[in-house]
Amino acid sequence: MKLNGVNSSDTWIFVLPKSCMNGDGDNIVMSLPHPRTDKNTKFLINVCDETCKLFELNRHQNECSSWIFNEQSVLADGSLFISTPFDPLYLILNELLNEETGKFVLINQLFSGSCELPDVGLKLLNCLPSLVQMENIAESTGTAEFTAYRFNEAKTLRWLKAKVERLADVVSKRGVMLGVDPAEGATAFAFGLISDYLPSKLSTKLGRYLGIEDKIKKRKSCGSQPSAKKAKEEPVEDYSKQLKTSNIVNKKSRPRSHKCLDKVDKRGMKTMSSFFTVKSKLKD
Amino acid sequence: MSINLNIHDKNLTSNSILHHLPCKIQANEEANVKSYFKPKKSLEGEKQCLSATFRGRPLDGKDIALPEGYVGVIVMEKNKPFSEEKLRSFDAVGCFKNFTQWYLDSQYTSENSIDMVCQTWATSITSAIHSPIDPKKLPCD
Repeated sequence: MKLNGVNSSDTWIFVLPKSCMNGDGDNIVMSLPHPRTDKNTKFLINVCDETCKLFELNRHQNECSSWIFNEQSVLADGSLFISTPFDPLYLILNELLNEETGKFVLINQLFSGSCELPDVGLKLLNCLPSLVQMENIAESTGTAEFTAYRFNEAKTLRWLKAKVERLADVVSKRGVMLGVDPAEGATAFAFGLISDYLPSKLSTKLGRYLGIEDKIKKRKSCGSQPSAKKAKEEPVEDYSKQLKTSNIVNKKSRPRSHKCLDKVDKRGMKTMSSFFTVKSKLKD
Repeated sequence: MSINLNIHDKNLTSNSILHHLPCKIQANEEANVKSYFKPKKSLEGEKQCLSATFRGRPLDGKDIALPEGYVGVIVMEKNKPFSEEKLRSFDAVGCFKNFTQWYLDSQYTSENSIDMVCQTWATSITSAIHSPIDPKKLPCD
């Protein structure tokens, strides 16, 4: 199969946690709806009996890059797939939110049809260090074997707040914020990063809960710059503007002879600049 | 259609050498890299510098170590499935702990994005976003 005149690649470069390689478990790449976009997104799951681990696949991609490896092979696509641990609660949370409100559901009933992997709900529960984790986002009912869950907003917001605070701490210590005032921005920046894993409705609620929603809006509005298109429309060196402003500024300091010129009857006279404008404009 | 990655350690024998080039090479095939791409190591003061040329352009190199606890794997699909529904499987053909990032002369900076991904994202940011929080330790409203 050829694409753009190049043989399609059957080789990829991955970066994974060592535990994926050393253990016995199977490493499976599967698709699940991403909580932010609801679009099917690829995740890596390491399945080893009753314990599973979930990873996010981040694709680092640069248009102008390629790989050379082992001094003999060329790979046109310079992508690097970096898989890092992913909290399965973000995925479960999204599915619980899609359920009817007030209904308790079994986790294995969720995700039905959205993933090609059998029992993906159970596998995600197995990714949690313990089922107690579910208390962060839901209330439970039932027996130890069959536990049903229901989304709980107050719990979820408290959990997310703890996440934002922990991340804000790391971010400000590391100094990795881009274009944010470090004093007040760390929480807002962390909120933005966490929001990338939340459905937009929930992220709005979280913003309100953290009391930073207004600040974010304010920052956006005061930082608004004319769009690139708008900026292009105006010439870089517009001398006519300078002329107008200097006229106003200098009105007071002009010599008396110039002030007398103002009183001259200018009807029927053309302005000096009109000689330099495009002819078609003069007609109308 | 899910994808199986067969990447268990025992399959792997060597530490692969990888170069990440700042240009697009429109090919997925074998090439006589050894004769034409020859990186040089030199010492500038105490700093070790990597340099090479590619199609007559000078390149500066930088060794990028993968973050602690991570390993790099080259995976290859040896048998392509005929239908879309079939399970696909990729096998590891090499592994690495570092690779060389090449920059076209002036691009060489300490804060290139691939550096950031390896050093900051994979180590501290992602664990702050994803590592579990004990619900019992959260304050009650």
